[in-house]
Formats: sequence, structure tokens, C-alpha cells
Amino acid sequence: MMAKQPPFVDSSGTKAMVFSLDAAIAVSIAAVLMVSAAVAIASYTPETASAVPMLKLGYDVVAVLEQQGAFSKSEEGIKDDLLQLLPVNYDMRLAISSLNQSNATRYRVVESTGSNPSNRFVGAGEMVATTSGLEHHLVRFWIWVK
Amino acid sequence: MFRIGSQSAMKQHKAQIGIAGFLMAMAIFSGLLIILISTWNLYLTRFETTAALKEMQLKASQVTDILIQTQGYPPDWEDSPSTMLLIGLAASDHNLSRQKLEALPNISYTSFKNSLTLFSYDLFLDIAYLDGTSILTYGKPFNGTLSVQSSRIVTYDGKTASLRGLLWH
Repeated sequence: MMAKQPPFVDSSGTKAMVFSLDAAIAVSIAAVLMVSAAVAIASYTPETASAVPMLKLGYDVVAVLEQQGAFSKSEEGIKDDLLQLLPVNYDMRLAISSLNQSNATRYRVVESTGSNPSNRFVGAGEMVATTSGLEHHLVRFWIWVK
Repeated sequence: MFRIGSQSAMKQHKAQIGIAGFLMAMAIFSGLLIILISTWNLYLTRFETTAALKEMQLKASQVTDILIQTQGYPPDWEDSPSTMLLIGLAASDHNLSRQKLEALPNISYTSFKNSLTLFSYDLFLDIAYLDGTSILTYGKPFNGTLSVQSSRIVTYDGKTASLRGLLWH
């Protein structure tokens, strides 16, 4: 006569429980991976793709300001010219240092706005600009989307 | 007899549970596989599109750089457009030349495209003053699947203008 076994040691019952547990874990892992992948795909915004046009815009603005002779003007004059050139959805900050020895201490900062972004990409660059009076300026700029 | 019959019924019951479990597992597996494949395809498509757009953005920036920063080659190509090897629209950096803009329509689109090595891409140029007054349009208008725009600020005739290049394919 066979000895009666308790249900928790029944071989087929244990296997079923192991299979169920295995399947549940596998399904949970797969679900977590898929949800993560879907969220990552949905929220992916290639920031570098928008960085190139933004930097080009910064260089364009400085180059056109140089063409217009803006760097021989006061901060207010440069700011007026800057606001006319800059697209409305961008903000920009310029730091202009004179490279001529006679004006070596002349340092001007021009901002299209008073606020600086803390949580978004800021493009930065620098170039040398020359005024009609042959004064050379090192112009550093920071540009960001409003 | 009863005992043997009872064991046989139990075995049959276990077999039915086994088949039902197997079918359920197959269904879950198939469902997951279908979701996985469709998600993977979506992922691949997005990556391909993003990579193509990045490449096009770079190309558009390079092309507009050439147009607004160089005079082209030969530098006086506007005097005899047929000798043009490299297109350039600038009199000086970021300052467009009136003579070159007037000569641009005399350049065939194929020569323009070849000089900028656009290959499979096409380009549409829209040059206008910042108040919106049009100065010149040139090239092939958009008729494709993907496009990027490179918008540049320049001066023309002493006024501020924009050169928009729409690169597409």
C-alpha cells in the first residue's frame, strides 16, 4: 500500500507551482523591460540635433552685429540691435572684451533677458569681432531656447 | 478496480491541466513576442529617422555655411555662370552679394546641386528680409518624406535678412 503524501510534496503540484512562478517572474521582467523601452522611446528628444542650429544662430547673430558695427556702441545700443536680430523664441547673453591694449579693461555684458536657464541646454561659443575703427573684441556668447 | 479507475481519471485530469497550461503559456509567449517585435520595429524606425535627420541637419548647416560665408569658385562666377564650380553667395562673411543673387537663377539646378554635393538630397532656398519681404527663392520645393531647415541670419543691401535652406529627400 502506498504511503499518502501531503499535497505540498506532490511532484506534479510542486512542478506546477514552479512553472507558474517562473512564468510570473518572466512576464513581470518582460513587462518592466517593455514599459521602460516604450517610455524611453516616447521621451527621447535628441538635444544635440537642436544644438547645431542654435549654435549657428549664435554665430550668425554675432557676425551680423559685427557687420552692423554694433560692437562700437554702448551696451544699450548693442542690446537694441541684438533684440532686432534674435528670433523671439531664443535668449542670448554676450560678454564682450576689448582686445586692444588701450581698452584692455573694457568689458561689457549684454543680455536679451535677465534670467539664465538652469534646466536646459545652453549653446556657447566665441569669436573675434572687429569694428570699423579696427578695434578687436573677443565676443563670447551663450544662447538658449526660452 | 475502483482504485485503478480512480488513478486513470486522475492521470487524464493532470494531462488536461498540462495541455491547458501549455496552451496558455504559448498564448502568453506569442503575445509577448508580437509586442516585442512591434516595439523593436518602432525603435528601429525611430533610430533610423533620427539618424537621417541628424545627417540632414549637418548637411543643411554645411550647405548654408558655404552659401553665406564664401564667394564661391571662381570668386567672380556671377560674370560667367557657366564657369561656376562651387556656388557661394557672399560678398563677405554673412553679407550676401546682390550680383551673385541676381546671377543665381542663371545657374541650372543640376549644376547648383552638384557643386554642393547634395547627392540624393534636394534644396529649396528662400531669402527674405526679416520683415518678410521676399528677395529670392531658388531650388526645388519640398516633395519628399523628410526635411530639415537651416535658417541663417545675414545682411543684404545693408539690411538684415534671412536665408532659409530646406534640405529634403
